[in-house]
Amino acid sequence: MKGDWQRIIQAAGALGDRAVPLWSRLLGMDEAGVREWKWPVLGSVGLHLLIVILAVASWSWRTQEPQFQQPQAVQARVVVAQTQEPEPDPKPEPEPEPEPEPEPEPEPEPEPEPEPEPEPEPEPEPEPEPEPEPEPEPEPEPEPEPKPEPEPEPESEPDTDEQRTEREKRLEQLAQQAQTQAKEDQQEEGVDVEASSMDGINIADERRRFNTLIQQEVQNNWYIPPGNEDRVVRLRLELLPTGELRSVELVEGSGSQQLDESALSAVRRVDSFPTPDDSALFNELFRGGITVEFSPQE
Amino acid sequence: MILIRNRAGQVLLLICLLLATSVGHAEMVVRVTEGADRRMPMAVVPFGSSHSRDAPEDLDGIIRDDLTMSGDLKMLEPSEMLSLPASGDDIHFRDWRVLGQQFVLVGDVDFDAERNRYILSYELFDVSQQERLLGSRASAAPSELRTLAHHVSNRIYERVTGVPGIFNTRLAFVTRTGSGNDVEYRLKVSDVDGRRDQVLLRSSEPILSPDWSPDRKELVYVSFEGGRPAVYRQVVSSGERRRIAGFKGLNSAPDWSPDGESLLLTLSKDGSADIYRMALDTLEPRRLTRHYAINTEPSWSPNGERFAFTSDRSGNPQIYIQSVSGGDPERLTFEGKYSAHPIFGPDGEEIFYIHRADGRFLLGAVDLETGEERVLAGSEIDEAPAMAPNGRLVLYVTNAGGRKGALEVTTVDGSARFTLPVRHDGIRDPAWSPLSE
Repeated sequence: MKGDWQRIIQAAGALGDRAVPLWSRLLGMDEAGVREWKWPVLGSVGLHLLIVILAVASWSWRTQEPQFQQPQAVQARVVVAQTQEPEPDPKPEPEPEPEPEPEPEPEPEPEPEPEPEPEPEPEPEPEPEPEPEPEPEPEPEPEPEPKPEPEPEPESEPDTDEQRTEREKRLEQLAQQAQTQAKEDQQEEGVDVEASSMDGINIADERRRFNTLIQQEVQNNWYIPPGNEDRVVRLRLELLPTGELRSVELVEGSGSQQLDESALSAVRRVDSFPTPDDSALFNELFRGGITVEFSPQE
Repeated sequence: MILIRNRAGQVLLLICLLLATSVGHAEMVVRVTEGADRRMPMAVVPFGSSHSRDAPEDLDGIIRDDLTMSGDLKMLEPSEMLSLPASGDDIHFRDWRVLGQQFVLVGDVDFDAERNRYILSYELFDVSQQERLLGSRASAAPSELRTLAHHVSNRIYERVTGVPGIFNTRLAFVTRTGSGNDVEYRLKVSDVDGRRDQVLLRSSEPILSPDWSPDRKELVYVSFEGGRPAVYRQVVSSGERRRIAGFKGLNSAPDWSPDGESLLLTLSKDGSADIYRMALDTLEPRRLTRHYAINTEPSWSPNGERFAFTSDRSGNPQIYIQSVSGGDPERLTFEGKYSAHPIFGPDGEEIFYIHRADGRFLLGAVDLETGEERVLAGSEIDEAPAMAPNGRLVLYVTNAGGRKGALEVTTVDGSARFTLPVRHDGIRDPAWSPLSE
């Protein structure tokens, strides 16, 4: 090892010697003057190289870090279910809705009251009966529109702050216990918690499987407004590892308000999206969100 | 140098690996092309009441029937509801979510004794988005509550489907009652649900083929009064009428043009039964078909450029199409030995007709572009079909399965059928009015 370093230094010295004439020409100094600066310059270059090497080495080391540590969240969900705590609502709060305009309704059109008329045809029997055709349209009421705000889903158990804090503490403890237990279990089974658990899993197969499962789930919750064949809506979804919807965004509207709304409703109707238990796999499949494309067919 | 080159190689490898990883992370795209059901689930909650006087009509019941009839919405029975909120403030969205509802309509009825009017305040919500889609008030005199309910149905339907509602349109049809010398034919109009029917004409001779003017103020029809068929035009509100075609031989099957200025009808004044176009100002018929076989039952295309008709020139009745400005007819139907009474679909791309198969008359449809013929299952039809003015439903008379004299509607895709609650003996020739302005 020592010999290696010596060889490197010698090689560097030789390299410096070879570069002396070139530098003396470039800097307009005599070769002796340049030679005096050889070791300081080589030292500086060496130092820079060392920094670069260290930086690169530390970069590659970081990429081996586990990127996502979600098992805690998965465990937490189980605990939540047991304590029947209202689930953290992943839904974006209902946006303040553009108030439907008060819609002035057509004024009742008082149709001319038909005067009972004698039969036009004297001869045979047919007698046109006077036909009152009253079609007053419902009249608009000018009252200002009440503006009920879309209300947040009512909590089933309205808690006091104290109760909530208490419950949160308890949940946290339970979650930690569950997490520790899970870790121990895994270690007992000889599973390396830090390592990627995708060994032996075919990502492409899993991708296809979850694509189909999600498609099925969304389809079961989608009611298509009529007459929208050939239109396309694209939504971008972010999911939590627990399968809950973290956020949804309309990426591309269809041009039909009703179809766009039906797509948004469909994904919000899904109680829980199918997601893998394995956090690394979840990370692999769902990190950065997924796109759901709705295109009704005849 | 070697060391550096190795490190550079490693860096390059690392970059490649990172690229490969990012490719591996390509975003998942889920494509959904089908839905759970063709009908969207909606709860119309029985309306609350802010007064002691009961409304003479069951407003929410009428709205439920209307929306069910549309074929696009599935109503939740009130008995299955977990709560009965009368305003948006009282809605617990979780209740409706549990029940699988997409929309919920709530309302409250008040009575203004001074003006003798009922006032309905109503709000429509999207359940999963917890969003108010519509909110309004409307009022009507006690005698007009059904009109009010149909009006609200229209607004709801339009808001959730984007398609105009047809619930305040009207139907015209003919009934035949009695037998022997006591036979009576009646030309009637009614609400779209068959209620509030009124007689426009009574006769001991047949009345046939009523059709609405585009402004829905008048009807044309064929009456055999006096022993010979003639075409009459009658103002619905006043009863005023006049004979507009009484040529020698047949005068039948009038169909009012989309622009309201002319009729297509069948005449035999020149020998064979052919289709003519008659301007309503001059009443001069111009012949459009010329064939010794029977050519009848003309139907305008929505853009007024073509017409479909029935002809037996091939030996049995089939559907043909021809340009109003001339040219040769083109045969559209080839399946079976009987296809008749064509009507155009809303966009002019499909034609519906009566088709006989296995001894039963069913509703058939042919795609004008592909020529593909299909039969709408279960639609046993006994009379000429009529197209809803929003193009979503076809109306026909059926006597099948104990539904004697019933008016039935089916969605144009055949996915849903609905039998109107009102029955009329000997009902025939229903015609659907255009949408009101």
